Amino acid sequence: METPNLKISLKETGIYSTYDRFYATFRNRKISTVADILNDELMYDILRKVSIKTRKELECFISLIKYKYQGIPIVGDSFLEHPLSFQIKSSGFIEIPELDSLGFNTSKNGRLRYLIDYAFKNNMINPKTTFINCFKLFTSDERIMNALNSLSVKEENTRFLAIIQIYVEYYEEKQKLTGDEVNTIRILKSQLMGLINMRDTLDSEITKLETETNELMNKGEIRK
Amino acid sequence: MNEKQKIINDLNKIINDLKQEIIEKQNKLNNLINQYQITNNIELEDI
Repeated sequence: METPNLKISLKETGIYSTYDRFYATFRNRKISTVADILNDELMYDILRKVSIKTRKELECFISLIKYKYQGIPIVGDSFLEHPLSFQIKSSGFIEIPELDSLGFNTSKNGRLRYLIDYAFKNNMINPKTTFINCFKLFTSDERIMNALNSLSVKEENTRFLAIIQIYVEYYEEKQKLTGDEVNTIRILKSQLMGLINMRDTLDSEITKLETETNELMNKGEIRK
Repeated sequence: MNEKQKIINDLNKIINDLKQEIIEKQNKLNNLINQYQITNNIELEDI
């Protein structure tokens, strides 16, 4: 993997837009580059101060950036081979069990819900279709592209497609790791190092937060 | 199975185990953050 330019602006990544839940926080804190996202200390500080829904979206965004710019595997990638398992309620609302952790707009009018509804009604997918097969369809089928482009906010359409594209590329790269054995071992070792670093940073943040929370709780008990 | 293929299989297993460990730690951290926000009465930046 070539060493990427980490000073690249978030807008240039294609997966960042004003519709992100964390957009206002980033704007207020002047967070604007990929390097900012790769700054664990800064990201953990933000994660401490946003709501659960924003946290989920931001965690997913960080993992996509870490994959795209550092080659670190997406830890929650197993969902790609899971069936969509969606249910269409009598109200027309589409319930997708794993949607909250995928980094998409989870609102009623989000693109994923809209396109799944469209593709299902046109017999292109069913609840047993896997996420990855659904995503491959979304990046290649002209009818889906037309359906997506019929939605009015182009910025959000572009971002949605870019996220889907990363997942498809990620999956295809993973499938390719069966050819040249020496190269595969080199890539897997590099991925392992990235994951070990991620695990160690998480451990350190957990310890820090546990200590701070315990100290605060103890102070509260003393006051009682 | 040759030696290199065995190494690849082992590395894949370690990576998958590590991913699972990280997911569990991320869940733990999220629970801690929820507790931290309540204990500190944190004013959320995104609301």
